[in-house]
Amino acid sequence: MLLKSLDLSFNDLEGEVPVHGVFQNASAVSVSGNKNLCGGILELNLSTCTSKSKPKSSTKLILGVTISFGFIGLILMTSFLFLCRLKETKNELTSNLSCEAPFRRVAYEDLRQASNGFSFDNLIGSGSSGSVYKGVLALNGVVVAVKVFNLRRKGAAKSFMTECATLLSMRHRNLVKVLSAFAGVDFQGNDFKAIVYELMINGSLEEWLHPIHTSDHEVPEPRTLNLIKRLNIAVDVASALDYLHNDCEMQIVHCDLKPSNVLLDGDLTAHVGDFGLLKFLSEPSSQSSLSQKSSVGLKGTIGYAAPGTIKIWKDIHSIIYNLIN
Amino acid sequence: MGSKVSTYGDVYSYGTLLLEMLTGKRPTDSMFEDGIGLHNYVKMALPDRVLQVADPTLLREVDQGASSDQILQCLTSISEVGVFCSERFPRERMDISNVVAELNRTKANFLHGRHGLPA
Repeated sequence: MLLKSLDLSFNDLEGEVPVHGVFQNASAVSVSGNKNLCGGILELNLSTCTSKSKPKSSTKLILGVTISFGFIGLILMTSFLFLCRLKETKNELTSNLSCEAPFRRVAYEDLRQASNGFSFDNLIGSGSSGSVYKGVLALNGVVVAVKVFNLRRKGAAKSFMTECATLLSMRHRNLVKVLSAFAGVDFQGNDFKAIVYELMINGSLEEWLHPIHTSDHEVPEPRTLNLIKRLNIAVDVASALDYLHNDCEMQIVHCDLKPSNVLLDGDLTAHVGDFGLLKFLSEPSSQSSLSQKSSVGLKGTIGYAAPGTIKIWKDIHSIIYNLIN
Repeated sequence: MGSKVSTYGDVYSYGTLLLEMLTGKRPTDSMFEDGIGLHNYVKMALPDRVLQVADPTLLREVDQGASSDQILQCLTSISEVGVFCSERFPRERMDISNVVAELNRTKANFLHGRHGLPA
C-alpha cells in the first residue's frame, strides 16, 4: 500500500526533505511550520540545503558526541573485560597473572619457603575450597596466611578468580586484607593458585565461641569474649556487610557468613573473610536480589543459610536422587 | 526452579551469627533438633527471659562494673536485632545499615551506663 498523504506540519523538524515517494507530490505533503527543513521538490518552497550549513557547531557537536561515546565505550569495555575475567572459570591460566596490580608479586618459591614447604605444622585451617598456611615472607618479614586453593575440587578455580577480583576492588577495615596472589604452576608443573592475606593472629570467631578443649596443653589460654568484645565484633561484621551491600560500586552478597569466616586480629577487631562464594548483584539499590540458577542453593552453610536456600538444597538432593534412580 | 541470591540471605546469616554470639550455641546444636531453632529459642525468651538463654560467660560482666540492668538491656537489644535479622521471611528482616546504627546505639548506652557507675 502506498502512502497517499503526509502531514508533518508544525513539528519543528529539521534536515533535508526527500524527493521520492509521497514527497514527489506537493499537495500530498504538508511541511509548514518546520522552519529548519530544506530541500525537497520545488513546489514545497523550502530553502535549498547547503550540505555545509552550520558546519562549525554541528561538526563540533558531532566531534564532542563521538569523543564522549568513545570514552564511555572504553569504560564499558574495560568493565566488560573485568567482568569477563571474573567469569573466566574454565580457562586455565598457567602464566603468573591476576591480582598483581596494587600488590607485591610473589613467586611459588616465596610461598613454599614461607610455609615451610606447606608443612602440616604451618596448617592453620582447611575448608572445602582449600587449605590455609601461616608463614613469614622472607622478602619483607611479614607474617602472612597463605590460602592454597584445592584445584581438584570443582569450582575452585572460579572461587580463586572471584575472591581475587573482589578483594582487588575492596578496601574496608573489617574485611580481610589481601597482600598478594599467585596463579601459576608448582615445581611438579601442576596448576597452583594461592592468595596471601595478612595473618589474623587471633584466629576465627568460631575458635573463640567454641574452643576445643585438649588435654595436651598444660595451661590452656583462656579464650573468652566478654559482652563488650562481642558487641564490638557484632558491629565490625555488620559494618563489613553494610559496605558490601550498600557502599561498593557493585552490590556484593557474601553468601557464606559464619563464625569461621570472621577473623580476629591482635586487637580482636573482626575482619570478614572467605569470599569464594560471593555474588555480584547487578542492581545498585539496597536489598535487591538476582535470580540465579537453582544450583546457587547449594552454596552456603547449613544453619547459617536462609531458609529458602536450604529448601532448594533439599530439592536439589531429591532431584539428583530421582535422576540416579 | 530458581532461587534468589540476595542481601537478605546475608542478613539472615548475620542474625544467626549474632544469636550464636549471644547464646554461645550453634544453630546446629543438638538441642534445636526438635525443630525449635536458635531464632525461636531466643524469640520466645524475649522480652524478659533473655538472661536465661544468654551465654553464662556474658553474665560475668557484673564483676566488671556493669549492673545487671545494663547487661539485661544490652542483651535484650542484641537479641532483638538477632531475631529481626533471622526472620523466616526476607522482607521482615532488618536492613544491615539499620543493624549497624542500632548496635552502635546499644554499645554507646552500655558503655555510658557502665562508666557512669561508681567504682
